[in-house]
Amino acid sequence: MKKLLMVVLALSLLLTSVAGVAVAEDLREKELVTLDVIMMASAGKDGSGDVVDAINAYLEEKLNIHINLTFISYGNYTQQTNLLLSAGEGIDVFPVYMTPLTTVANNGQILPLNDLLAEYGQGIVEQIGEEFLNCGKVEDEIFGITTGRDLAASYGFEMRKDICDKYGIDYENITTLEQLHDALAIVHENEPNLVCVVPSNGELVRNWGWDPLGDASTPLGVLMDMGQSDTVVNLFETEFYKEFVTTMRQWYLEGLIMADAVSNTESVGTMMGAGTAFGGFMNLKPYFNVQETTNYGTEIVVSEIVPAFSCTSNVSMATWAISSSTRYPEACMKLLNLMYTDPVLENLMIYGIQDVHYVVKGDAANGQNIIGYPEGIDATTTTYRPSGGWLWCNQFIGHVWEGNPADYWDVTREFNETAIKSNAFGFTWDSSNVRNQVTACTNVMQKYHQALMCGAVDPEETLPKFNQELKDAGIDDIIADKQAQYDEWRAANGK
Amino acid sequence: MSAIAPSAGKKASFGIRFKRSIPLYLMVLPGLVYLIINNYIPMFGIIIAFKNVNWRKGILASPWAGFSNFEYLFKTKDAWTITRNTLCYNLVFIVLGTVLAIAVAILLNEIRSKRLKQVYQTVFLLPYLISIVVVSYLVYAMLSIDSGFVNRTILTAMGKDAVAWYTEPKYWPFILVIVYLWKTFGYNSIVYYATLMGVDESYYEAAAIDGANRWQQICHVTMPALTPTIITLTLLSIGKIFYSDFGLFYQVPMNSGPLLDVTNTIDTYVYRGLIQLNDLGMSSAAGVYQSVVGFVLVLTVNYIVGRVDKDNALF
Repeated sequence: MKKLLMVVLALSLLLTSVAGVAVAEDLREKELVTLDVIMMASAGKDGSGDVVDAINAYLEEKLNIHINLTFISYGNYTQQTNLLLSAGEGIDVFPVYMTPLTTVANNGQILPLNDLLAEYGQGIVEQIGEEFLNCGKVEDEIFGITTGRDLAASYGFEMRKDICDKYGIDYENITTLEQLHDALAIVHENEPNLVCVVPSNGELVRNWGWDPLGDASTPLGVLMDMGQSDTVVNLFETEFYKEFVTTMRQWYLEGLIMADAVSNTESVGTMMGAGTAFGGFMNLKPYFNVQETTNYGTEIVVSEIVPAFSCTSNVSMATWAISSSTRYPEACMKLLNLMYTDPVLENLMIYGIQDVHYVVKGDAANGQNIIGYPEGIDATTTTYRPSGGWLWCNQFIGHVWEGNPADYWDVTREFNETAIKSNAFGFTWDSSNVRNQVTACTNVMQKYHQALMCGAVDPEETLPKFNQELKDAGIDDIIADKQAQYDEWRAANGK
Repeated sequence: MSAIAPSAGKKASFGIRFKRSIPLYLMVLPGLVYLIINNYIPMFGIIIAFKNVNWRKGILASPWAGFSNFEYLFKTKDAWTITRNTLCYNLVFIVLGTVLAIAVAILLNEIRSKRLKQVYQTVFLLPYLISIVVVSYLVYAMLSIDSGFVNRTILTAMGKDAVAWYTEPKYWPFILVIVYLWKTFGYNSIVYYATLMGVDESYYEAAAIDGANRWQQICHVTMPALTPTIITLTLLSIGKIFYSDFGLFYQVPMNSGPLLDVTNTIDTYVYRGLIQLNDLGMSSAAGVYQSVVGFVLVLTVNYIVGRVDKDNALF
């Protein structure tokens, strides 16, 4: 019996591989297909025309596909992609970002991908891996494919190196809030005009070691201790939260946190660059300091306080999807598959044209190159933007930007794989049972949460009010619903 | 407002009347087409509020949701806060806004120098043209804790402690009203002033001959001349009483959480609540709710006005 099974298995393997070869041969579309690809870019650059021509020449040969590439800026991204999806044209392939994947999937705005992946997307499965791919599931279907980037995060503090050096701050060995506090107190005493801690856009920290079981900015019902517990709890009632906000209140009263915290619309990076701030809390990843140093033009160092861990939201926060209005679902998946597996295409998309937008400076560990700006060109004068690579499909197969180590992508992959995984890793919560409670609780949260986190209001007085209003708004229903769905998921996945 | 009656005593037949009015109908046409395309056809969208929209199925084929999309507007404790805020702010805006605009219009009317009049009108109109985002930063320049004008200059000069404006809800009803009035009084006063310019000088001359002083002229000539405009504009504002100026309530307080009790209105609540859920049905439900209440209010107030003074009712 066993032997027979083996034979059947071997045969089926053979068959699929034969089929694989056969498919590879006629992957090209019969007639030229043009697909609309949408991408987020923080600023429009006018060199994308040449890049798109180069991409199209390459794609025509490989798949007989052309693309129209549209960049939408960060601030407009949610709204404009939503409009494009509603209009049902001008959008075929795009990254779902800042709108929860479940929402877009439940609205029927994007296609389920299981069959398409099985047929045309095996390269993607290989590159991203089942485990991370499953985080893009809504119920049993994969709707979004996460990108090749840092899929976990550690949390800590970023700050200016010049100030650290001036006052002998040993940033490498800061691992607790108390140590950080002592360092900040020194800075505050000596540089009274410098803002020590900037809450970017009024948000001090987004996460401090809990699994939000859904969107990271609305932690309504969480798993504490980096998701190492299986009981969904109300974050705002935990001792952990109380302690954190009480500490921050003390920092605020000592003048360590920006006084205009709740109404601040600046980011810590801009203020550090302008020399008006010392630092701020941040989500960290390997060589984050290199990225920040390049972006803000002053040397940045970081202290890690909450070690790296990974939950579904880290993975599903940015995923590529296919619009349900597309006329060519197969072509879309073929294109995506190539974007995830073909270094030539991916380098074109992320970095532009060699010797025009970048030049080779050395060898990277993955067989690609270390690259940098050509002479006389920098971040402000380039005609194609080289940042934001993390939202493109798969930067792991492409070049490495100078300043990062040659094995940068291997380090990042290892970071993803070695990070502590939340127990609920792979679980996606569907909020549709408790829409009213979520709407009400989100409003209550906006009233208190950020202000408490920044220390701008007194927790003694505010925290009980906050929790009472959450109760009235129905947070218990949300927690019960999350717990039920989570238990069901655990049973189904044998965890 | 007296009805414009045809001079002929005998009633002409419909055909002749229609023919005579063709130029008038033609003039109405563009506006009518605009209204139909822009305001009437989209009314079909009301059904979205009663659907669980699924884009793949399309709006018509999506399953019906009954009134479940409306529940969140009424179920919670916030429902009372946001309704109260929306209504009360708008009432204050209507009353104070009208009084201020009329006062300014009358003052403008009293100015004799044409040059000065133009200068004043331009200056008054300026705030109305400034984007609300810019306004929010102007306010911020006043109220910022560290560097704001009020804390640094005024309160310091008076020997008082700095106020954390963006975390103290008690000041905001006043701040918002002041900002609103500052921003809109110019525009409204010009509308009233335009009406005043249409008032025949001879009324004032006659009043003066009868021995009326300036104040009496204002009470007995100017105000009655303004009444129809006041009623029309007020009725229109009442129709929008369940809507709030999103920019004013969201941008000007810098989206500051601790202020929400006094700054959250129906529009900002819907925005804040649905920015995550992104639910088309629920946001349409809010829109339908606002329009229906506005519609009913306009009909009611118009009916009351009609009972009091038939000529001044809108329809």
